[in-house]
Amino acid sequence: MAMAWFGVQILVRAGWLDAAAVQAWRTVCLAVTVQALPFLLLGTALSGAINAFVPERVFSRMLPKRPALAVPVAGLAGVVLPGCECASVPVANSLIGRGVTPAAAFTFLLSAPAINPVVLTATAIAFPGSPAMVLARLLASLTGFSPLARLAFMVVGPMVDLKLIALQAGTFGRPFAVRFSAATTVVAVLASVLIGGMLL
Amino acid sequence: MKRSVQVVLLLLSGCGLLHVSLFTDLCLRYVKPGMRPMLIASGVLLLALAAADVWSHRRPNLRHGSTKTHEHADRGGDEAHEADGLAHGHAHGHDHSTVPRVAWLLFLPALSLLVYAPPALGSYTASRDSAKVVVTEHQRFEALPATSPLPMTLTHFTRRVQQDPSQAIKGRTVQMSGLITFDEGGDSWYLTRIVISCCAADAQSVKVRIHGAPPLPADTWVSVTGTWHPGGKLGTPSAPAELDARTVEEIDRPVNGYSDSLPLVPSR
Repeated sequence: MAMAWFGVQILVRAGWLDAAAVQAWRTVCLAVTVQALPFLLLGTALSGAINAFVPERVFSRMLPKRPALAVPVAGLAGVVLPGCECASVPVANSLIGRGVTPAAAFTFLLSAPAINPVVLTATAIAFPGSPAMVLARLLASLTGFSPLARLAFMVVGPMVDLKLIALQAGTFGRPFAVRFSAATTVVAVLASVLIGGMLL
Repeated sequence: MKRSVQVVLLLLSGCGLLHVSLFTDLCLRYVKPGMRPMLIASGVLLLALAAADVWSHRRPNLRHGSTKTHEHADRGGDEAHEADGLAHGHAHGHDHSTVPRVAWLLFLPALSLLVYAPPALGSYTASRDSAKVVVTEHQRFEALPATSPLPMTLTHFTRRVQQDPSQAIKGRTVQMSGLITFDEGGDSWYLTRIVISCCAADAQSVKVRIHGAPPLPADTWVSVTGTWHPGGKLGTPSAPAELDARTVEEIDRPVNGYSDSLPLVPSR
């Protein structure tokens, strides 16, 4: 603690904290935190509500028994969770807690950030005049399997960004997060390449 | 992390969020104005959570106090309570008692929001931004209004200069606002708008080079009037998005400083 304080003092004295680069870095870090906080709270509140108010049998009735059938349904369910990917982690965790097949819950974890309405709208705004990008993004995200780096970046980005990996590591354990993000990256890149090649 | 520390963290985060979103408009340095209601709601929610935490923790103690058990029994009850929480932890995801040490890092943004809010992105970010084309293709151009000087955004100006075949911008006096940035050599300066689409992490910039006026320090917000600086063939991409300045006037950073639009009421 004393060491940390000493370090901060040195940084302040040297004027390093006021350097333009550091200021920009702090602004961006804080911006990501501020932007994510409401969605994180929303996700936590939602997962709490699922734990508290939704009885287990609702999910067993809604989702097909066999994982192979439950996975697509869960993937589509990602559409209903608005906002940022951060909200999906606590919700997926509480779904597992409610007896949903882990495979289905993780599908939800993947699909929620990629195909929710907010993200699709943002894509449409960021690439005006090319609605094919929105469609391509949706398809590449959904199927889960062309050197279009931007598409790959957009699909992979929200799924495996550092913040999300940290969230997953905290919720499901570190080994899970490592395996999950590595597998996601490979599959998402493949899917983007395939679908981007067809559509764009 | 101790329970009391968690409460302090919740309080600090809640106050920090309310400070930047409700009491000041500092949050506009980091996110879009549309996020503001959500930030205020989050701040209130965090404070409510802190209050609920304190309240739920107090209650068993009060009960113990009323039955006049001594301190030892009180602590025993507390531990039982924690153990109870752990037992339920399976259904609840995870319990408060297992907050990882990394949560201490949350104090950084919370305190930063409260006492040491970093400034809005400025010339540093803009000068490092590669010359990406933020200006999109536009098909139809209406006649320009007769107002003079004509208030314009940097994007509209660039579009008119590089895409409008009718050359309506020729000879017109326009008025644009933005912050001052320099290129690497530092011999020419630009009127710049930093545009964000989600938060400050995805900033892009649009620039118009200014001729014929001495620059003010970088990051100063100015309103510039002037006419198009001739070069290339107007209405094609060969025409440079540059302006011969007539007047340069210092202004306050507009509330909508992270968009390329006409300036709104200056922020406090």
